[in-house]
Formats: sequence, structure tokens, C-alpha cells
Amino acid sequence: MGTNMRALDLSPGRLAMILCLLVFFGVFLIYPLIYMTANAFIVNGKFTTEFFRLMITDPTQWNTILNSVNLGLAVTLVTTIISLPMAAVMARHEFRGKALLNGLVLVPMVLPPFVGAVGMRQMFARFGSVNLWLLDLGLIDQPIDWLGGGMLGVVIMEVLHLYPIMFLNVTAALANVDPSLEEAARGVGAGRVSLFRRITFPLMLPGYFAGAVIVFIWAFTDLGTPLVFEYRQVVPVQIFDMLSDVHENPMGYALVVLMLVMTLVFFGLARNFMSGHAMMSRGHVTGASSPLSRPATIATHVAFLGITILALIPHFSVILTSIADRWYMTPLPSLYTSKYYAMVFDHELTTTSIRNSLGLSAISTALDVVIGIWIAYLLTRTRIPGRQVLDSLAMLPLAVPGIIIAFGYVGTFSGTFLDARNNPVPLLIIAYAVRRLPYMVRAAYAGFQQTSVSLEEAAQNVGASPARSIRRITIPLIFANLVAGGILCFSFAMLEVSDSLILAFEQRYYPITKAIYNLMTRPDGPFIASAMGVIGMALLMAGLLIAGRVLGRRMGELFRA
Amino acid sequence: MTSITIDSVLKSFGDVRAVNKVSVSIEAGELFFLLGPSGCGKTTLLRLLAGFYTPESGRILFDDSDVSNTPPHKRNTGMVFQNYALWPHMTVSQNLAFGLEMHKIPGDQRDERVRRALESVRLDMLAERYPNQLSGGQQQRVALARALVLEPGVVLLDEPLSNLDARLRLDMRHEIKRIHTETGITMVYVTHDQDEALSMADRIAVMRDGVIEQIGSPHELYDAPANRFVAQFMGETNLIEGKVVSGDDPIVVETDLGMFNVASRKTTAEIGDSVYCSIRPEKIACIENTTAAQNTVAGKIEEVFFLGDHEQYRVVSASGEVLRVSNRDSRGRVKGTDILLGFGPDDAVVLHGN
Repeated sequence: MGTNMRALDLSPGRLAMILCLLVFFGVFLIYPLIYMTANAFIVNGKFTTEFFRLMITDPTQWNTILNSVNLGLAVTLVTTIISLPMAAVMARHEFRGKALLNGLVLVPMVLPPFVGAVGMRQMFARFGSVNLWLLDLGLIDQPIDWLGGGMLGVVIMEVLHLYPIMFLNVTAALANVDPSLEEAARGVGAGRVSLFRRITFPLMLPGYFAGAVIVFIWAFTDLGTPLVFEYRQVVPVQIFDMLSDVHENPMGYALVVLMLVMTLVFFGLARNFMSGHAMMSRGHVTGASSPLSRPATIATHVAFLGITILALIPHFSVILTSIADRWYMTPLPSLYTSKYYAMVFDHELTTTSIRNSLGLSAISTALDVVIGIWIAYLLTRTRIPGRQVLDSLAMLPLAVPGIIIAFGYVGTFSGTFLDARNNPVPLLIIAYAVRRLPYMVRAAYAGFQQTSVSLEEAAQNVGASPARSIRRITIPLIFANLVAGGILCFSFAMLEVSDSLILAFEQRYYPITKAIYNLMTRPDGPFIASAMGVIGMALLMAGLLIAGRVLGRRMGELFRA
Repeated sequence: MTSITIDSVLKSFGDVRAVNKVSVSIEAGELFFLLGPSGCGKTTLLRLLAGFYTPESGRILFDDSDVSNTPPHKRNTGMVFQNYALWPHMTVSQNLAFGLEMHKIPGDQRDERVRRALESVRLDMLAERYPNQLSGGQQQRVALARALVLEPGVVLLDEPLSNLDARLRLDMRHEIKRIHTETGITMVYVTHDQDEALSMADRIAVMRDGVIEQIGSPHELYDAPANRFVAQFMGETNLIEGKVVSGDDPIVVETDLGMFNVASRKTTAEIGDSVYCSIRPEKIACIENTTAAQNTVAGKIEEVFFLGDHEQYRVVSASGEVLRVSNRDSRGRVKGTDILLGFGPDDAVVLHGN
């Protein structure tokens, strides 16, 4: 033995690590996908494409798919229109308060659209605040059906939540366009418009496309928002509704496969697109930004603040709802109270769910930290075969929506000791962990890469085993990265929607999000739900702030494709 | 004190044989240099000694025990890294104590040994500083102290002075040499700087393309290089192409500059061989008259370089050959002067053509 093993960088310890990881991904990521695909095509032991044909021939199914595609396209389009000018100003100009505005853009992300929707319903209902205001002012004499048809509300809600993601990606794409290429175009006589159309836009297109894919897929697969707006004719809600009879009706599997294929194709395209172009246009990006005139600075501030205020309307409505005692036929509540916060803390459903969420998120975060360190170590410090596979597996959850993972778990593990109907705790933990693992791997990977290998070698040289030198030298040095990654994992796990809604069947296992969803059916439900939403929002905001402190400018990188 | 035996060690990266069946014996207590241009395999060889690489074939012995497959943390070597690799989250004394802790040395002894090691590099007053609060030279000393505190059998130094400025580098040469003398530890020192090697080494191995070209004392390498590469790498030299016309002592070489008599030493040149005569610039004298005892070349000074303690001339001979000449006496010659150059048979070396 020896020679071959050593050439491949395989020690028994590393071999064990990589095997553990492959088994984990195999069981909890790949197998559920295969299982669902198989069930979509093989019914009663026979191969069939019947359910895919039904998607087209059955008008209801076809309509559902069209709705979802339209929803995705609409959200992508509107976020683009909002983000492109914002990003252009940010990436190419210097002005007072730039850092502040940059931070402000991220604020809307601290609220899952699902919770914001609860507040929105209160504000924009037929006799909600906005209509009452307008009626009072005499601007309208009939209440407007803002959320009419349902789709509009969902689009607004998702746009307000997702434009920061689009903004981050477009800004990055613009920043990666070497300004000297633009200068060269100016040099040969290109005007402003043709410069953007012929040079800048084509060069930033790969980066933009990547952002657009994230936004489209997010909107296409979002379960919580349409559910709250009771806009049920979209694919995710259909899948959710088919959960109960999944063993009789394989249509749910077929829809999941459709969704999976679409997301994987789109992400694959984005990735190829990126790798083809990105290297070429990525030069040394220095000193590209020009100062902005005073009026332009003011205009920029007004625009950014305006959009942020719009984006915060759901947040305000949630806060308002949570403290409204009497709110009937008046624009603002006529009486305020803190009783819903008190109810959050002595209502059994809510206290249990907060406890559940804290526990589940903590354990899944711990799992992410351990797995993240392992993977980052194997990727950066060894040359063992299968590294690329591991890398792809760790990043795959970015492309697999939560609803697919959760649905797959229900089907795959039903009747096993992991069955979510008996006790969803293990699967909830694993689902949370798998979903947020990419953030953790990226954070740890960056840390390992920034830490010189010779520091570990020096430790080994004075007698520390490889494992020990990682533990005593590298991990303390990259602790900030790990903490930041961990906080992100934890915060997102706390407000994870689709897996929580799907996997938690019994009330005593409800996480926060499922409890909020459940409360919606009670008369005072929206108020308590909003109070919980505010608490969740505060938690997520604190988490993001701390993570942002620790990670500094690198924060944005975690949300890019 | 540990002796090292490297026995036809092979290590390749992809298709490149970074260390190609190298054999060397390093004696206990020696200050041994691995010298060569970048990419010659010297650092790879050092890392093989530290255990960061394992040889594909061949063996490495520390004294009589085969350590070829011993992992780094069980090798008992102390390494000084090129970038020092001080742990930034530990103070100077914690950097030193870490290895002692790994070796389970009890606390009170630990403190004592850290103190002594820091004293030996004269840094005892900086024990509680963090590495980023130290100057480059101080960091270098900490790295050295960390390598020494475990009292290893072998100390490995990987271009330890390359990150220091010229002045500090000279000071640190003395420092390392002093520590070597005081401790008597076997040291293997990698560098690409031939001045460093010549001034410090007990013996030097000159490497190129994964093989050792020559091993010897600084004197041997400088005065009797084994081939053109070594002659050129160890300081400046003039290489004059020629053919052997008489094989006895002295060897007579016919060149474009005339017939040269060269002491044969151990050269195995036979009549008809194509060879090079290597003559160091400082071995060439500026003379007044032709003498029978010397080889002479007439030429014209084309350029004068003033270097403080000496001058260097670029002399072009009648046949168009260029010679570099260092002159310490009778300075002040100017460009364009005709000059007569002379060197004795012992001042030149015959090297084979390849």
C-alpha cells in the first residue's frame, strides 16, 4: 500500500470524512430527488408520462403552471427595473452616504415575505388602512381591490423582498466589468447609450442573468406568500395541497420534478454563462467611480429612501398589526395594546413553537458548522479525488428549493424510523441544515483560503497532529467567518417556511413559521401572528447585523450566485 | 545532534521530477546549505526532510532510523518558514510554548524553556507581544526561537532571510551562525543567495532541475566548480570556450584569445575535448609586461563600473571576446584605455563543455 494512497492524499481519517459526507448527501439530498423522480414516472410498477401529459392537457394544471411562470417573470422584471438604475449609481459613482444607502438596501431582507404578507393583508384589504385613507381624503369613492385576483399582492410582496438580491447581483456584475473596457469604447467614440447597450450590458449580462435566475426561482417556488394571500393556483401551493394524498396521487411528484428540472436547468445555464464570460471581463477594477453632483446625490438618496420605505410597508404593517387593539374601519388602529406580545409568551402554541424553532435552529446550525468545516478543509487542504463532487453537492441546495427537499423527505422517509408524521425533529433539523449549508461552506471556505497553510505546517512541525493543528490554529483564526456563517444559518433556519410548513404535522412540533400560518385561521390570529413576526424580524435583524459586523464587506458575497 | 542520510529520494509533481533521486549525507552538527535557482527542488527537498512530502522512492534516515513515512508532527525537526508562519492569535511566548504543550512538557518547565529560548535570540522583553506588533527582524527571531525551543535534532530553514532588507540580512547571518555554533544543532538551510551560502555554510549542495550538481565546502565550490552551471551560479566568472591541445599538467587549451596554461587539478580533460576555461574576475590582474609565467590577453576597456572598494572593467579583446575584470589596486583607469591582462595557471579552471 502506501504509495498510491499517499499520492491521492488519502489517509484513513480523510477517507472516513469524505465517506460520511457522501453518505449524508446521498441520503438526504440525492436519494429524495431520485425517489420523487422515480415516483413521478413509475406508477404501480409501470413507466408512465401520464402525469406530465396531464399538466398540459388538464386546463387547471396548465393554468397553475402558467400562473407560476408569470409570477416568476413578473417579479424578475419588476426587480430588474428597480435594481438596475440603483446598481448603476452604486457601482459607478461616489457620493456622501453611499455606505448608508448600501446597508439600507439589505433591510427588506430581514422579513420573510410570508410574514410581511400577513401585515399587507391588513393594510391593503378591501376595508384596510390604505383604502380607508383614500376614502377619507376623497380621492376614491369605492374601495379598490388591491389584492384582487391574488397575484398582484404576491408579486408586490415578493418584489419588495427580492429586489435587494437582484441589486447585489447586478452591482457585483457591474463592478466586475473592467472600466478600462468602457473607457476604450468611449475612446473610439461610443456615446452614453450605445456604451451601455453595446459594451456594459453585454459584459454584465452573465452576472445579471445569475441574479435573475435566483429571483425567478425564488418567486416560482415560494410557498408562504401565495398561501397567506390565498392565491392557490400556483405550483408550490398545489404541491403543498397534494401532500396529504401523495401516495394515491403521483401528480405532486410530477410537479416537484417539473420544478426541479426548471431550477436545475436555469441554474446550470446561469453557471455556464458565468464561467464563459466572467474571467474575460474581470480585470483589475480600480478607481472606476466618479463623484456625483449635489443634485444627483440628493436625487439618489430620495430614490433609495423611497424604495426602502415602500419595501418596509409590510414591516410597518406587521408592527402596527401586532400592537393594534381596535382596528376597524379606521386607517390606523384606534387603540393600541401590548397584549398580543403577552399572548405570544403564554399561549401554548406560540411558546412551544418558539422553543422548537430555537432548538431546531441551534442544532441544525451546529450541524452546518461541523459539516461546513469538514468540507472547506477537504476542498482547500487536500487533493483527494471526489473534491469537485463534494463541492457541487454542498452548493446544490442553493438550486434546490426548500419545498422540494421537504416534499421529498415526506415521501422518501414515510414508514421509516425518520417518518415526519411520527416525529419531524430529525428531518426538520436536517432540512434546515441542508438548506443553509452552502452559506456555511462558503464562509468556512473563505476562511481556510485566507489562512496560510504554513501556519498549520508550523504547528505540525512542533508536534501537533493535522487534526490538532486545524483545531488549535486554523479554527481560532477563522472563528469570525464561522460565527458569521453560523449566525446566517441560524437566522434563516428560524424563519424557514416551506420545510417547516410541510414537515411539522403535529402542533407540539410546530416551528414559529408553522405556528404563524396556523394562527391565521383564528379571529385574533393575525394579531398574535404579527407579534411573533415582529419578534422573528428582530431576531433576524440582530443576526444579520452581527454577521455583517463580523464579515464586513464580504457579507454581500454570500447572497450571490 | 542528528545526522541525515538522504538515499536516492524521488518526488515528483505531475510530470515534473522536483527531486530526482537525490542522495546526500549530512553530518551531525553540520550547517548544510541547499543552494540553487528557484524551481531547482531545494525547498521540496527541505519539505521532504520536514515530512510535509513523502518520497515516492528512496529513503530518508535521521541517524539510523528511517523517517521516510513519519508524519511531520513525529519527526522532531524545527522549521523556520520563509514567511515565518507565526500564529497571529498567540503572543510570542504562546507561539513558543505551543510546541512544548504538544510534547506535554509540564507548565513550569515550559515557562523556563520559553524564557531561555527568547533570551538566546535576545527577545525576552517582547514575550507578551503579538506577532503583528513586531518588526520583520524580530518576527524572524521568534520563528528561530520557536524552531529551537523544542531542542530538535535538526533545524530546517527555508529561505529565512529573504523577507528582510539587506542590512538586517547581514545581521541575521551572524545571528544564525552564532546560534549554530552555540547549540551545535544540525541545520539544513535553503537559499538562492550564493553570498549567504558562501559566508555561512560548512558545506553546500548546489541544485538544478531536481538534481545535485556539486557538493562541497564554499572554497571548493568557488575555486573548483565542477561544471559551468556551478561556476556561473557561485559568483561571477568569465567562461572562455576552447579545445584541449595538451593533456598533461598544466593542460593547454587553445582559445580565440590564445593558448592558455591551466593547472590540471582533478580535471579529466583529454586532448581534443571541447572545454571552457573559467576565470573569476578578481583572479585577472592588470599587468605592464607579458611574462612567461602567465597567460596574457590584450584588450581595450569598454566600460568602467566603480564599486567602492574596487572597480570592474568590461574589457574587449582584439578578437572581440568580452572579459570582466575586478581591480582593487592601481585604480582610476578610464574608458577606452588599452590594457594588458594576465592570470596564472592556478587562477583558471577547466570545465567540460556540457
